[in-house]
Amino acid sequence: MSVAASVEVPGWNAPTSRARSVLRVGMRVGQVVLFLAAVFFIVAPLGWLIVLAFSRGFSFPSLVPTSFTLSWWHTVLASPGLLHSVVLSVTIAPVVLAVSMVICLPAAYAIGRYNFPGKRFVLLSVFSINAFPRISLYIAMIPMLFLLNLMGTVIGVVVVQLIGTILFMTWIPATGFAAIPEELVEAARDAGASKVQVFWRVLLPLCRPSIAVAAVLSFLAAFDEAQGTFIVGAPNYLTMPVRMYSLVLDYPVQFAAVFAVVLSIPSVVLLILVRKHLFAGTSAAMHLR
Amino acid sequence: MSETSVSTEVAEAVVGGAGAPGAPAPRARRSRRSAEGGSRGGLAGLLGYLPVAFLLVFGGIPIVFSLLLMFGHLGGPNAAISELGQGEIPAHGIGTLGAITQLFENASYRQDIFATVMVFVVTAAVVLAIAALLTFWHRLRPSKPLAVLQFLAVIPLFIPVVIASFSLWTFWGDRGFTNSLAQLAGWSNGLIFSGRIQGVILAETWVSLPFAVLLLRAGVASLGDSSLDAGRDAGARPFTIARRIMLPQLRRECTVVFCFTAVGALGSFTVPYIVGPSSPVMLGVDAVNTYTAYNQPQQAAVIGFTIFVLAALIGCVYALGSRSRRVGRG
Repeated sequence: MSVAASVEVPGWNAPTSRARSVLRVGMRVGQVVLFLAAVFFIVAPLGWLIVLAFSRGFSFPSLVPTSFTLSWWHTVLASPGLLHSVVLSVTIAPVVLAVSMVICLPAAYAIGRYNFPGKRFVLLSVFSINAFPRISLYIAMIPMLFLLNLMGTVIGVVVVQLIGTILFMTWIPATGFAAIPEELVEAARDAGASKVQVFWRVLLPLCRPSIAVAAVLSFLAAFDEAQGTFIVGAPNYLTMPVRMYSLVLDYPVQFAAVFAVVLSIPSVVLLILVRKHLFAGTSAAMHLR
Repeated sequence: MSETSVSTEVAEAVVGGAGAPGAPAPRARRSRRSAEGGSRGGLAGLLGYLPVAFLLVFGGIPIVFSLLLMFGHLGGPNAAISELGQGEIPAHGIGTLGAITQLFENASYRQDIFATVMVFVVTAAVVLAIAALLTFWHRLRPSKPLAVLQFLAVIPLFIPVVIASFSLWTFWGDRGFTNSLAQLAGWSNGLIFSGRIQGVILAETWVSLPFAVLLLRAGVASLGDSSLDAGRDAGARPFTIARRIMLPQLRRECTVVFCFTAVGALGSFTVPYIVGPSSPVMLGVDAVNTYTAYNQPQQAAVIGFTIFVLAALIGCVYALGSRSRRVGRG
């Protein structure tokens, strides 16, 4: 039975041509209103942040700064505490990424290329961790981290940031490995390639885009992670996002705005670079079986 | 319903099962063939379980420890944290409900729970409504403005949550853009959302919108033209087609969007910490404050458990919402 035949659409009357034209105008107006609302709701706050980062001050309720300045940028870039946070962030996030790759890429390969008992359980377990309310998971981790003497340590911070990378680093490469046609592997084997050669020369190069997307997402997940790092790392390890918490409360708003712009640069640049692969990769990962 | 089973249910919907939207069929066939071709147990299984082992050690087992702590078992694995904590209520026998009753007898804690429930329910409903409006409308009447709108809705994905929260806090603050605009327009009451629960809802909506739009966009793309054309041929208006044809077919996707947005808002800390009021606070902020500021890990564990229970309730909503049988897609 066709879908069209099975669909019932009761309760309407065919509109007149006048009603149709009113509807068309109404839809156009609606689109314009929606567009303006979206710009105001989504884009304007980010634009306001950038204006703040270059403003000397505001004379409330003026919408324009009294004057523009780069002095906040000099202050932020000369602040040793903030620089320490930058160094911590750019050091810890790559470490998290490396550990995540060591743990997850072999699993992604196994999931993508082999059947093994409990494969679906593994996939669902990895997914499930993202379905947990994150903050309660971090709170629940505290006794374990105390037991292992990891509270207030850099290893503890790495562990807590790793949680947010597991899904990306397992699912997206697993999709990439699974999508490689078996015929290619068989052709390589027929040509005399060993299993290791097939992996290094066929599978890995073909899966590189998926791994790259997963790596970018995992890096950003670690780089931007704030709440778990705050619980586990503070006050010893204040990464850039964690530092934002105190900046919001204790510093002039322009100072925090500059820091926010600096902090968002890596995310924006990396995500723009991989945006096409990102949407394709995550979409495919959502359908991995 | 346990939290794990809830997650599994939600996961199954997104993993694919019978109804995942837009699954690339030829790709999936290749995947299955390649996986079957290399069917092996031992080493592949070991490698496959590596992330699960990590999550078990730092996710599963800690939840058990936390439950023990909540019921007053301060020794064993909880000894280290208990030595440093304050206001603990030790178990006598199999356990105590002391910490739980202590918190629930506190009117402020009950207000926090109410505020949290209100935030995640309203946020999930608003996000679902906006995402459905954008994606359904674009499917029925494709246009450039709507395509741009969908692009705008995905922008928050590119912004770290802490930056988004700060940005929204300044924008809606007492000296922010919206209030300045209101004052200039002669509205003496002003337009301030920062430091208010409404601000938390707006900010949660801001950060949750991309996932919802992406998922529903995939869903509407997978709808067959035939069913929509049948509605059009019968003279149905777009709203009627959306309500009577599209919505029933996308019920599972809508449920996933609602539940995931709700769980995300429920477990959030950064948005309510920066944008929200000092009282009532959302449970995530409450849990962190209880642990870091008041040094009460047992009470923090109770709050964490409350969040888990609320998440399980959201899972029940998912289970109910996804029961409907999907009609075929052309």
